[in-house]
Amino acid sequence: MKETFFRSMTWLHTWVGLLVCWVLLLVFFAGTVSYYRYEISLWTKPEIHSDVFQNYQTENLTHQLREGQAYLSQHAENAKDWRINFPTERKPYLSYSWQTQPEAGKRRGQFIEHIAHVNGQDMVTDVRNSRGGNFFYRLHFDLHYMPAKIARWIVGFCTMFMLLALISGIVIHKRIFKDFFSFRRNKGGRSWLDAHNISSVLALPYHLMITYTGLITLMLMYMPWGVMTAYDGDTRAFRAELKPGREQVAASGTPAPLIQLSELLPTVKASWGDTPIKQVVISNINDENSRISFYKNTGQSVTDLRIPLIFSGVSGELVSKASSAPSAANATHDTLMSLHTARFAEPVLRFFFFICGFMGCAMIATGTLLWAVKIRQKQQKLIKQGNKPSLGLRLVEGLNLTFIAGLPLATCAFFYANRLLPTQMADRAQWEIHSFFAVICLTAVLAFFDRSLTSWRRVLGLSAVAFMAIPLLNWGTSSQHLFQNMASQQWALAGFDILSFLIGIALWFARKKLAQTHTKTSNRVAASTAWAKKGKRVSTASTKEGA
Amino acid sequence: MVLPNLNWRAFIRSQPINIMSRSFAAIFAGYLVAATGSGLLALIIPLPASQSVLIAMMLSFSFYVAAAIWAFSVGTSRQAWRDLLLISAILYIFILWVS
Repeated sequence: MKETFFRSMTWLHTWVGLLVCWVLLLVFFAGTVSYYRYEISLWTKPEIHSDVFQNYQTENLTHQLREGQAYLSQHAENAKDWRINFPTERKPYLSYSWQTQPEAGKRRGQFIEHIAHVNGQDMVTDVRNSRGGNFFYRLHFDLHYMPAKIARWIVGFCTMFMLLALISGIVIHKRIFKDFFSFRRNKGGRSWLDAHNISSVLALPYHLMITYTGLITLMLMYMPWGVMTAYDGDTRAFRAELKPGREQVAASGTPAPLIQLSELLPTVKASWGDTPIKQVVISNINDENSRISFYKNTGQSVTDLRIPLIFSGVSGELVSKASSAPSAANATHDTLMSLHTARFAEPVLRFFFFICGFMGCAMIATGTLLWAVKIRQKQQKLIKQGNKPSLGLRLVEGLNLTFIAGLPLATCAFFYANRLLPTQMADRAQWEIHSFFAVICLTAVLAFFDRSLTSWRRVLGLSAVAFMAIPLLNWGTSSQHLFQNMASQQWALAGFDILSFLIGIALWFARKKLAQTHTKTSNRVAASTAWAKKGKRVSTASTKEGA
Repeated sequence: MVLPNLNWRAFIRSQPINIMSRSFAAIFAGYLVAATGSGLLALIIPLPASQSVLIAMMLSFSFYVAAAIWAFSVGTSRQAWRDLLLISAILYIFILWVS
């Protein structure tokens, strides 16, 4: 019975992992990149790299609110809503934005953002059209080229499988600690297994946390059954009760003038003290039911319930209820959400999240590589006799090349497209995304014809060079190059260049490693067959711990 | 798929079918357990409705995992189906009874 359990867990781990690993790799990769969503968005807008960045200053608030209101009433009189965005740590600029009236049948209008120059007079309005970091953020759960709803079900399904793979992986890994401390280099399949173990175990708490909280972020879609029984399926009522500040007031149709926003500042200060304000949203502009909501910059606090102060836009009266302390369930839910998005993380902690995310990618990649290496060894005799490898093996090897080596290259293509496509091009933002997927498709074509180590070396080498050249690309296409950014302490922009360069170097080493392996093929084959023989002996004695 | 012989009973007991059946039990019957479990919890946790629903939803995925592991740990795939469907049926009866 116990033996069957281990065997079925091993089976579960292998097949569940293999079935969803490429979608999971894409999701994990996009999620990891999204930790730097705002920084990427800054980098992809070179128009704002100079004379725009500023810090939040309380003494400027009154002036900035007045200017913003005047600007918006001049440029966006008929908008659906207005937003005045104050500088924060990760978005260090002041901007006025608005949402145009949605077209018939659509829920949302178009978002337009104008960014203030530091001199307080000029506005930057011709920022290139790019999805920036939001592309990776959306890719993480909405994928692309398909309706978001379907994509979220696919991602949810894969996430659930990931949770199963993790738990079955823990179960089958009897010698989890012993194996963790042993890394056998250059031993073919054995090394892949060790690498898989290390990347899984080292960041295991992170993997479990990120998978479970990932399911929680979309649980209202995946598991709405509590709402079905307790609210008879009325999701709206549930949401309204959960977050009382959220309900929207419809426009009355009776026009009424908007008050001066800056007059509300003393009331805001009375409730929040000197806590920085992140955003002011004005809805139903110049209507009797207009609302002005102030959001504070919750910065590094873990729970961020975004409880706004809401005022009537006509009388200036505070209409939101006094916020009570969040209930335990609310606070738990919010903490789980922010653990997933790491919105509280300051730079060092954020970097650790980023590294853990990459360990997750490595775990998935080494897992599927390990499978391919093992199956190839099993088929070695047949292949030597001149037979083709089985369809399954060819498929897995092809997908491995496409996704593991292709994703970094595709990411690079996105950044190059961002800087090199003409700024006035039609559908520019979409074409940046098309170039991301075009590179994945090209890698797939390459993988279709040649899945050998040479292909791996080519793709890895190309992405290594492309990543290392990103600082040069930035130098050529932005007003501020790396050293200027370092001198002016724009660490978001400088960090982007430095991190890209380091990733390029890492990829170059991976390529070099492969080149060495290639020259020592005979050694490798000898080592791996020895390992396979040993592995067979071990697996008959006890159940296999790996795939 | 090449069948070694045409004995249906042997085919159904064979490894691929057995494992396939367990997987479907884990995915579908496991989801039923999680869904009914969270539906019931949302009703019986003695807190304001929005709070108990939130807690029930957050816990539901651990029921799902437990159910899936269950499907792979019992002796036969038929037992996996039987157990999980029985559990969700009982939970569903409780939901009807409570509401």
